Amino acid sequence: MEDKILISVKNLKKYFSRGKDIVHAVEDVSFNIRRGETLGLVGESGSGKSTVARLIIRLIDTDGGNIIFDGVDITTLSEKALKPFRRRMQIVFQDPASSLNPQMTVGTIIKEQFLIHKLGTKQEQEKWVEELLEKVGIDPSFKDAYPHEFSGGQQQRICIARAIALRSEFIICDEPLSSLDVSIQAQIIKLLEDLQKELGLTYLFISHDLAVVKHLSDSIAVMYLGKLVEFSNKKDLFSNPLHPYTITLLSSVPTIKGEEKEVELKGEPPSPINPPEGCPFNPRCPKKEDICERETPILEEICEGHFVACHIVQR
Amino acid sequence: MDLLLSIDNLNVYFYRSEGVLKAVDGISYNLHKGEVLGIVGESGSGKSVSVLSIVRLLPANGKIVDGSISFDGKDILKLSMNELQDIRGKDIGFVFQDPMSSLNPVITVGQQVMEPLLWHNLCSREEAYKRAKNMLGMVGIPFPEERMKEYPFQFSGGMRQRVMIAIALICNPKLLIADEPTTSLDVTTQAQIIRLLKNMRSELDMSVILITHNLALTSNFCDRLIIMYASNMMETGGTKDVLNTPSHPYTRFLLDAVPDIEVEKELVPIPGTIPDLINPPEGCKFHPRCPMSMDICRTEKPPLFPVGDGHYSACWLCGRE
Repeated sequence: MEDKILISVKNLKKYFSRGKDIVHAVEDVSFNIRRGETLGLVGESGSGKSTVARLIIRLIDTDGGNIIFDGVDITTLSEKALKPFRRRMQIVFQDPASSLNPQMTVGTIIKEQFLIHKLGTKQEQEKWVEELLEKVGIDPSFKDAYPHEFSGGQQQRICIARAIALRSEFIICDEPLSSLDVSIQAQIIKLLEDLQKELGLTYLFISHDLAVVKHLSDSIAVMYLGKLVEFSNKKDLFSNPLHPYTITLLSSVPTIKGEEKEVELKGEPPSPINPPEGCPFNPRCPKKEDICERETPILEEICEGHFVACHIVQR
Repeated sequence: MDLLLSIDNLNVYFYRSEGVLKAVDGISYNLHKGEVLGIVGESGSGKSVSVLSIVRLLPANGKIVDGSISFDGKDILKLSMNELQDIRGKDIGFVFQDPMSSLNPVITVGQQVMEPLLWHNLCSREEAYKRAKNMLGMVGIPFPEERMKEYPFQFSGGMRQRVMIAIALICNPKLLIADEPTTSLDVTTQAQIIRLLKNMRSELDMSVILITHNLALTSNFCDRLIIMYASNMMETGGTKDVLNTPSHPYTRFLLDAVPDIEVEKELVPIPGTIPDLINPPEGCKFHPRCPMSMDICRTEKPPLFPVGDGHYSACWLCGRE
């Protein structure tokens, strides 16, 4: 199975300084993503999800740990050595309007990829742009239009076209649906699914919408305050969540059936500037014991492929 | 139950340089005392405008061109500005989507919670202070007395929304209008805020209108639903009826297009996009995207047909013999 792993992160760490304070944005995060699969990364805002995404594709540098892409450690590669890898990984952001240059036509925005990596002749590049737009469901005759002439859903399609332009294998989707209307969200989900099937893409899908994550992912990682608290395949995580945080998170999701749920999370996530001692979740945890305030639980495999960082569950 | 709000054939137009935009196109509904009504729709469906019209809070280019609004026995459209001011913030409280932009950044939270009481001359300053403190405690803000001295930026998103709710409820309104109150919040915080709204509703015995794009959010809170699309009412009825036996194709699409955490299903995206409201399609506004559309759908706007007890659907399929 090992050779199927495309992305592997080990003990990833990232701290930001804010004045005199240090923000513990990502603390010891490790996981693998297998080729052709989707890892859903969930957690509340400020839990470090997006920072993990930016670390993996080297948009920002790590303060510790390793990122292994297709067997190569890319953690400290120079910008020049990294360039062939840049081609293979892409990101789609939350707000498509602000990630498309308003002064460039959508055709140029996509073509820029080929120019940077010096691919194809002019005619070939034009042809590729048209093929890509067609693939994401935009009429290629609109390639000379500017981003503002498209709706939010269409703009997100253009961002996706740009992300797959270089035949990248790995695509990070960082809350790609949040700014879209519900009827448009389903269209984009469908597009992402179809592209994955057709091109064999590997996704890291970041979202706070657990229903969408459940729909799209093969495995799920749950983050809380910069730490990974649970990691499992989709089925086990949703049918048998183990970490108290995951349990409350799942019970907070409203459903059409609308049954009143028992568990409700009290309080607010603590500040990552002064994270609590021991388990990050202990101030809000209903099952808290003394040990949780003293020792930080380590992510351990409880049953096959199901990892949890919780003293109580591990016992 | 007594009638609190009655809206009849409301038409709201926005006058733009490109033309006239019909933001609300002939909407009628009633709201009873103590009832929770959910208005569900996508952006641009007219759900917010239809509700802001209740207190005539419209932008300068927006105008109520037809219809009547009666709130608590008063004809809203005939009131003077002063009489309206008496209702806004006192009889009707508002909670908006983004608490940060609704709160004044340079005034302490305590002052802002007290303001409606003082503005409406409902009590003395000392009394207002006491009531504000109690209200902040009721909406779940720990150490209300200390936090009253703080400014909005010192509060987290969820806490700011609690402050907004405290401001909206401080005058004991008859109606609370919550316009996407949890859209900018995390799911765990969303659950807390909805629970809070539910508790406050039964405690203060008020009516609530919840505006949202999230159907699942309504299932546990609203008594009745209105589904809006392109300035029109598509379906209305008891929450359970609408969610369990949706009648309008658009409602069915909405339910099929959203993944549900408890149900494994194939997503069916709604084809096409929301129509241009300056040049809307003739007939049923949904017909260009509707797989079941017939000839009549392209020419005539469907009325609301009864499909069950208090359950209506604006679809020609429901009007056929």
